Amino acid sequence: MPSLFTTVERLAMRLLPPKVTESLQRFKHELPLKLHLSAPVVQLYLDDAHTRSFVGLNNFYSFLLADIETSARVQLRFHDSGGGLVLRHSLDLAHFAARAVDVRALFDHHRIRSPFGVVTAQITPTEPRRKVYRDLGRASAQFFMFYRDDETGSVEQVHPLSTADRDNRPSAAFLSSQVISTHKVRQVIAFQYNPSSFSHSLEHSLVNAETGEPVASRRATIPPMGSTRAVFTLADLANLPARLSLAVDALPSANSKPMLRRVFDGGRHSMSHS
Amino acid sequence: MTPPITDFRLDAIHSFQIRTLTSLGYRTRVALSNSSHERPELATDYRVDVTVFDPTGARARAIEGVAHLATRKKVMIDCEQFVGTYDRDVELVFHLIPLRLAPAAKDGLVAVTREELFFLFTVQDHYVEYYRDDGFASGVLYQSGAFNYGKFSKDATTIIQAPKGYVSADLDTLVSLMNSSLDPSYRATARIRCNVQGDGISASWVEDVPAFQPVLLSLRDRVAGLGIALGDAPRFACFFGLCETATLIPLTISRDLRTGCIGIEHSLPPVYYGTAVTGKQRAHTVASLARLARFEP
Repeated sequence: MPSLFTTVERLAMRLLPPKVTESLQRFKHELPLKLHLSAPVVQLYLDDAHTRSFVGLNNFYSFLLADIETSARVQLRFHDSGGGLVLRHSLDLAHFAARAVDVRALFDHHRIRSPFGVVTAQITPTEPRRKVYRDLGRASAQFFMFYRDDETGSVEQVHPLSTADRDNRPSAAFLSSQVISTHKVRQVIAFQYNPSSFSHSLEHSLVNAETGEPVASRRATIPPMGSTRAVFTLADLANLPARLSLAVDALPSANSKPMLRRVFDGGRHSMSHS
Repeated sequence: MTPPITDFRLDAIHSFQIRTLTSLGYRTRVALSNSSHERPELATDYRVDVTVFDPTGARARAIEGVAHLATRKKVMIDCEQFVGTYDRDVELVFHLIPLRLAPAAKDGLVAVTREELFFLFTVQDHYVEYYRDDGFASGVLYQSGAFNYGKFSKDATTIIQAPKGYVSADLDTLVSLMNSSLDPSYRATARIRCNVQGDGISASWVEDVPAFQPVLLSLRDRVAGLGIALGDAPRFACFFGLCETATLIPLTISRDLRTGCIGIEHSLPPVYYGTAVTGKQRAHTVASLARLARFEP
């Protein structure tokens, strides 16, 4: 729903002469308006028997506007795979500070058991109405996820791909640019989240990378802010080609691509965005 | 539509620059994709050429036609055929030669609009994957333009904010930097000011990145050099970088020292954090970072 201010602004832009609207735009730039923030940025966490996750954050306002002393507040929200909000967690970032949040330590402290789900981040300066922040345009609280499996000695990292925007709508079919060599791969797992306000049904497919022919598929319905994993055990698949690609018939929102994990013979694994 | 850029190198219109990780015990392969069909008027098949640099950064080989890449297709290329004899890390540049434009080329140069240039190299990612004989493999999707080529961009700077370093007794994070170019005369060594901080860690230093000689910076070594004892628990180490003279291609590589397993990710350019951090605003960011004491070694 647009604010009253936005509605008035749109009407004025439509009805008033250009010289007047230019003056009004200049006047608006001087007003202590709200910071222009994107919706919270979203990515997957894993906290199962093997893998633990860390959320890496830095005060990007300080980095992009180094002349301006900025402290910032981080708000993290953790959802379980059913989409339920399991924890809100806030922390402060001093000027130029960077911190990592150990998800297992946090969940243990709050006695939360959630083997996977999504975390969203919003980072706001403590004085968000300062005019200088508008020089950044729309600010997005980018962070990085790091995953570690101590048992197998596997390490993984990904950046976020999308936001948890109320206006998110299903996106087009998706075919990953990755090619999956099936040599000594035991499983392919697609971790998929739904950062929208609606339940979303979708199908993950492994297709022959050369011909595009389907090899296997898994259908799922993901609740709002929920997540799922499509597990493909390659030994179970008939006519397994040497190379596969991952396809999705409809992403839950723009660029909400799945995380693609390969589990190799012996249990070691790697994961990256698809 | 902006006027076309004239005399643009055909082999610089669409490229994918990668490095090898022989030093970590890995072989290299790439998967190149062609999604140019998404704008039918700009759709093109590609001929894939490759330039191989040796460990000193000198051009060792230029091979034409290693693959044909049709629209809507992918092609996987094992790089061992090009670099198998090198025991050190090297750089490879894959040139995706647009066959729709090739007939118009004179002396390897064409006229191309900026719109077409950006469409062709941003419409899809390409994938580099590092693999071992035991089957383990890890890779990353990214795009790389014709950086450090004046016809592509006059600005040549790099700013990196990477809150994704973790170090422990058996865990390292490596920052990979490539100083590449599609300009054959490019020889400039890039100087990058580095800073790492987090969990009681604070250090600044300067690194030189020679042209076409990829480097790996160990954050674990940097932290250990501060006299900080590393135990089993990962310590967080955020990496910041500033280079005022070249556009570098940064990747971060997590590495378990017991198993050698790696996880790789690219960094996010500043426009991902602020939609207006381009052009003059980006230059302002670079200038203000350059004045910071934290980037003084």
